[in-house]
Amino acid sequence: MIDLSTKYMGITLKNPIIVGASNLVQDVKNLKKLEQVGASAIVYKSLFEEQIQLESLEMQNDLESYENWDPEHATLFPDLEHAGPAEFLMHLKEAREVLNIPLFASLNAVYEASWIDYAKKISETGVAGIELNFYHHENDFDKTSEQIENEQLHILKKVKEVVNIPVSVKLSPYYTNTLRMVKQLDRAGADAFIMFNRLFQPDIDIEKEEHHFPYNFSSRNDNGLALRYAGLLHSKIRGSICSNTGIHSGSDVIKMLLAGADAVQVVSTIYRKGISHIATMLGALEEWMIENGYESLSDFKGKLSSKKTQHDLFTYKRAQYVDILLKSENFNKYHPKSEGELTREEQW
Amino acid sequence: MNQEKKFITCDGNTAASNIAYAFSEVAAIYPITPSSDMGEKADAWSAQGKKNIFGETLQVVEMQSEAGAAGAIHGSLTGGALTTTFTASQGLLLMLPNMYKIAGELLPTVFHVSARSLAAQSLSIFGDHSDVMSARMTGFAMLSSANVQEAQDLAAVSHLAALESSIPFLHFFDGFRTSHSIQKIEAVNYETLKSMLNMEHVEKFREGALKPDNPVCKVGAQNPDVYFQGRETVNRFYDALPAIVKKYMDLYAEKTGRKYELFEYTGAEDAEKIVIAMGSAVDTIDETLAYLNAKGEKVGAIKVRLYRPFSAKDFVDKIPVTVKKIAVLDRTKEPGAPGEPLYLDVCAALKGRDVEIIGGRYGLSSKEFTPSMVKAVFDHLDNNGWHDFTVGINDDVTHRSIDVKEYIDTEQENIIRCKFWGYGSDGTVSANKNAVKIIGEKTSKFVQGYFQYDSNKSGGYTVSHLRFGDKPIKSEYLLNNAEFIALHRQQYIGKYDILEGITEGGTFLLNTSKSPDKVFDLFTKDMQDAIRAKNVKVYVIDASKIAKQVGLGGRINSVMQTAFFKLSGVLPEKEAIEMIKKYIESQFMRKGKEIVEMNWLAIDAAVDAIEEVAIPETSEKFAEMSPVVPEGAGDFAEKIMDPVLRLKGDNIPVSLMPINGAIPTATKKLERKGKAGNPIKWVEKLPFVSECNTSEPYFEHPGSCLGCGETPYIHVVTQLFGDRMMIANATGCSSIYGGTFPSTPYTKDENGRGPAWANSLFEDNAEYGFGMRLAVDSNRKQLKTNLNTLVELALNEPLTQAIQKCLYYWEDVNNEAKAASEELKGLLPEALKNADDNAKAVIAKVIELQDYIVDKSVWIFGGDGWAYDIGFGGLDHIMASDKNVNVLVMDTEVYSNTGGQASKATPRGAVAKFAANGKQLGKKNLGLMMTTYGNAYVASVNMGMNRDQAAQALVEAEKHDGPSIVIAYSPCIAHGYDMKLTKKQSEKATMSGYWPLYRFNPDLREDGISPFIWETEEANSEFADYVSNEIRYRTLQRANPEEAKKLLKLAQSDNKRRFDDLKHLMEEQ
Repeated sequence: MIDLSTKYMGITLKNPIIVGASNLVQDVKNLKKLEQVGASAIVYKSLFEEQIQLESLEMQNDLESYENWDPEHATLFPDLEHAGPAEFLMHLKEAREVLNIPLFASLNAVYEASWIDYAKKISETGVAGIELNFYHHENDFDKTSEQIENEQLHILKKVKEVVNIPVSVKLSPYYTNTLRMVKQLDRAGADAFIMFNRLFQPDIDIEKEEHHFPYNFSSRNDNGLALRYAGLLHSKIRGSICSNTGIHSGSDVIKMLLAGADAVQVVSTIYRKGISHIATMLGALEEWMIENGYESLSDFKGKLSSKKTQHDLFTYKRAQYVDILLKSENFNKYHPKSEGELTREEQW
Repeated sequence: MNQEKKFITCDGNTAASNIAYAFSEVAAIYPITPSSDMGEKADAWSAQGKKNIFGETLQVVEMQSEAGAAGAIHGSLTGGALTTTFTASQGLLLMLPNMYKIAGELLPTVFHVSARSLAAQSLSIFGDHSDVMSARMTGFAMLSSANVQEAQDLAAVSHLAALESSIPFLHFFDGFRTSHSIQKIEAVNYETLKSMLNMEHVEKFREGALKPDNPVCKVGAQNPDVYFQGRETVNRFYDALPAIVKKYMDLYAEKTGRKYELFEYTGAEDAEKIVIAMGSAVDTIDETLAYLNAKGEKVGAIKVRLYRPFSAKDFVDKIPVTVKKIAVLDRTKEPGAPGEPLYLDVCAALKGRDVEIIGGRYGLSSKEFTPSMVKAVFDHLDNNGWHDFTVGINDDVTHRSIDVKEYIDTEQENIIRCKFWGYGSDGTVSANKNAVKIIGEKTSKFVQGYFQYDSNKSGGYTVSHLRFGDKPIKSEYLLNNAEFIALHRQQYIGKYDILEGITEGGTFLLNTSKSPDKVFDLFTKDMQDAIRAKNVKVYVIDASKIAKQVGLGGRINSVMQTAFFKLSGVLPEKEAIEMIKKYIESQFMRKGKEIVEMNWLAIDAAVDAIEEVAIPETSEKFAEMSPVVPEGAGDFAEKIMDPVLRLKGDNIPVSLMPINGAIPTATKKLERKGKAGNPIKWVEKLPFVSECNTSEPYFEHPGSCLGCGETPYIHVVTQLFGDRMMIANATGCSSIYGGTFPSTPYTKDENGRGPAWANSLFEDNAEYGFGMRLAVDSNRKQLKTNLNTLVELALNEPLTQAIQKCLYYWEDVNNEAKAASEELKGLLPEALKNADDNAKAVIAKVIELQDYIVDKSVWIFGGDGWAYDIGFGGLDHIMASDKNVNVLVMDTEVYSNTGGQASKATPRGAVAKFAANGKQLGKKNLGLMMTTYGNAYVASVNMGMNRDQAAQALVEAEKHDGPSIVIAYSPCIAHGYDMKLTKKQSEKATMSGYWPLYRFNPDLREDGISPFIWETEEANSEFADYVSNEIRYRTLQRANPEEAKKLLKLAQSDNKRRFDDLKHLMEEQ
């Protein structure tokens, strides 16, 4: 009997495949399907404070849009206030009620007070844990990396003070020293690290000469950083490691586990291949384990982590960079493309 | 005085409502302009959990009419709850029967009234004392407030005095001029109010509550032996009242520092001439007295505050012994009376005193009453002034108006007056309301903001009148002079007198995309001359461009507001800009830093983008005045419409006004260069249509909101029956866009026929239309009798044949019937000429009634507020009759015209005023109810879903010889979505199972067919999708998602039940 269970944030999951935060969860039918095909846990779509702010502005504009047109109706609607995260929390609670597997919430707030307030309210819905989504966009030339990191550490500590469920952090890979940041967060009580956040960036439409916002799915080539950090962090921190971005197949899951992840989060691959693809991935994992004689994940988790491969001087060190560069002349041999296959942008 | 002065900036409705809230436990209300805001504010505070001085929230209940509200108030007072209400105009009149009862039973309450004109020759939503004067005999005490400060303070005195005296109070202030004027006032807090209330009076009131624990019988009837004596039992309460009011005025002064008197004398101590008035006019009079007395006059005035009971002693004591002449000014008209009410009271009070007293009228329907008019009244007294004069109009018929010869500017030194020309949707008024509040609350300045709007609902002009002064502002009239004028819409040049009243060295700001060097040529000659003569500084800004650049879209208000703060000189520029930025921050911080920054960016960009226009010493080019009606369109267009459309209607003399309010139809197109609207063509092709005229429209260019869902039904129904239609229209949106002076969208065909339209009231429209039917039937009956007599007389063969043809077609309304009618009409003059005396009388009678040969199509139009609520009793009654009347209910599911209050047509889960937490109960199934009479034709239609079905229902309704009702789904801006999408959303309304389509045609029974025709397909789209498109539902999801979810579920059950009930009806049939 193959045991796929894993411990994540102190919670035992039946397997390592968690469905990451996405809009898929808005439909209750999807939640049930995800559960049925074997997902071990689901992260509910993020509560973005900025979205609440914009909704609140939109609501105000809606309510005021016909004001002061006419002597008889200076206003047309009653004066109502946006209820902040109430609608989100209601849906979160509904999602929790239909699932038997753990449901995690994801939070991205703007103000410290909101981080704390929203986290507390989320914890009251009965979710299994909260993911703090430290999605940060630099737009201030004067803010130091230390300031940014301290703010995030401070928020984690504050949230931990007000909730009694596990708290994970979803990080971007763009810290000056990600390892140090992880270490600090780990000490501050982070129960898991989701690595890494996929940052949504606008693209430019060169025909219309304007920005557009394409769906930003990951590809399989995007999982290198996740793989590397799973390996670097395995057994060096208290919190769990959850690999994220570019995990599209059972073999990707196996790789992450070998590197040292406790679990993985998948989103893009479900959008691409459908919800049932989770079952396929789990099947592939199981098959591989049978083939390789493993009975449980602990048999091979972290087998190729930095700690377990200390004899290898290059894999997790800068030297690998040199190594790849040295082999770069072979790149075209293995990836030839005719001109017709190139996109217009590539041709240019 | 035991409190620090705290200033707030608010309007009169808010000020009064806040006090009513403090002292009340129950409010039973019904919306009516201009008092609706008071009930709405109270309801909103209650929803927010605001506590009254007893530590409870106020229970606010919206009733089906003011009559209903008054009944509920009477019951609530009888049951022992401190109860209040807010009303005006016809609403107050509907309360009169209960007011007698409430006063007769000595039940203390306060009715807060924003005094408004009564509908006479026409409705008017604006202010005068016609309504309150109609309540002066009810036994209510009446206390008058002159401004926003008093609306607060005297509201409190009213409540306190009512409780002690057991006499109900009518506290009133001028509609719009005070109710909607924003002013800076000293606030009073609830603790102070509580400290003035002797709780023993509350206990005494509660002891008197009707309860089985201490049973009494409040008798229903007294007979001649005792009724009179019973009526006199109240005397001592009224005798005691003036002293009680005085006591609370004094106590109020002690606690707040603001002193009031029952009658207040102002002016020269040794005045020989005085005026007496009440309401907002007294402040204007006060301001004028200061000006005149400073110039050596000896004039004064009495401000009347406690009007009922009228304490003659207190009144007489206030009049200086030097007074020789008195002019009493009434803001009401009592045709046929020897004088208006206040005049008569003054005469009675001063009986025997050697003083000359005259009475005059002013200010009806918010007509301007200015210092120049006050002076004209004193001048009139000087010139042996006659009684029964009017001031403010030109009465060139009965010559009762006095001339206003001299213009005077009496306003305080250093006053800054700013006028803004905007248009409905540009946010100008909202921005100005904010500006007044910001400056009122953040600086030591006193402020006043008053706003005028176009009657058209489709984004017409707005004019904002703002004043900023170092002392309290007493100028209760529009700006006659302005230091700053802003024009937000360049297109108004040549139409309106934009620079009227600009002061020497004033500032003119224009929003335009033209560069400064090209701007001067855009102005009319008058504007150019005024700019040069008065050294006006002219600035331009391209607000639309800046708003777009910084992401604010079409809303130019922030930009123009900034330009005003920079240029007006109300505050130093730097301070002003900082203040507006801070305000933006406080308003938008919760919406995110980016939003704040976007607005700041707009402010900075606006400051940088203002450019001064160099004024050329001479110029060749200027703009011509643009015509507002086509040349040669006739006297009505030129003498009435032209000045009204240019906002110069005040200059129209009495002689030019229609004597009964009637205006010619086919006049709306004159506002569109005479271009006719488009007739509806598609109805002609429908198989069931037989008498449609599609060459011309009968309804064109209504001034309704863009995308209005009511007007398509009117277009169709008038196209079908327009040449023989009589329309009774309930007050509401359809009466405003259908019949606001001086034009109407109803028009006529080449034969001069078309819909004849009239509006009586809000509540009585079913009966009004029913009465029209009675008249038509009566006239036709008499006509038929005379036609039959003529047949018997057999005067000549062609005539007899023509009459017989008409009688043959008597019940028909088709083209044959119409042709027969025309043929007969053509023969009648000749027949009359040749007839003997006996026949002559009969023919003359036929000619008198000849327009009734073909039956009329009597239609009753109204909205859901009328049909479901206030007019339901009457509607129900006529639907239970056998008379041929046709009712078109344009169901917008909310009181659209008065600003979005819930009606019984409002669906469950939709947000509306008085249903801020979503309407808790489902929509009344009016159609189902109307089918129960069996004889009535009933249809539910949705033009956006199935226009043929709607047209068929209208045709069948008209054909049915009995009462008919067509309930029409009517999208409205109050539903809250892009009105370009009304067709799609209408389709969803039906396809989601919400709005059923059916016809219930009793005529089908004759053919043995079930009268009920179900025309709704099985629901094939989600109700949740339908509701999510509309702000009225979506807002609740955002504001109270749990409630929205619960109500959505219940609303879905409502849909199912509604369908089941109707389908059941089909099966039973």
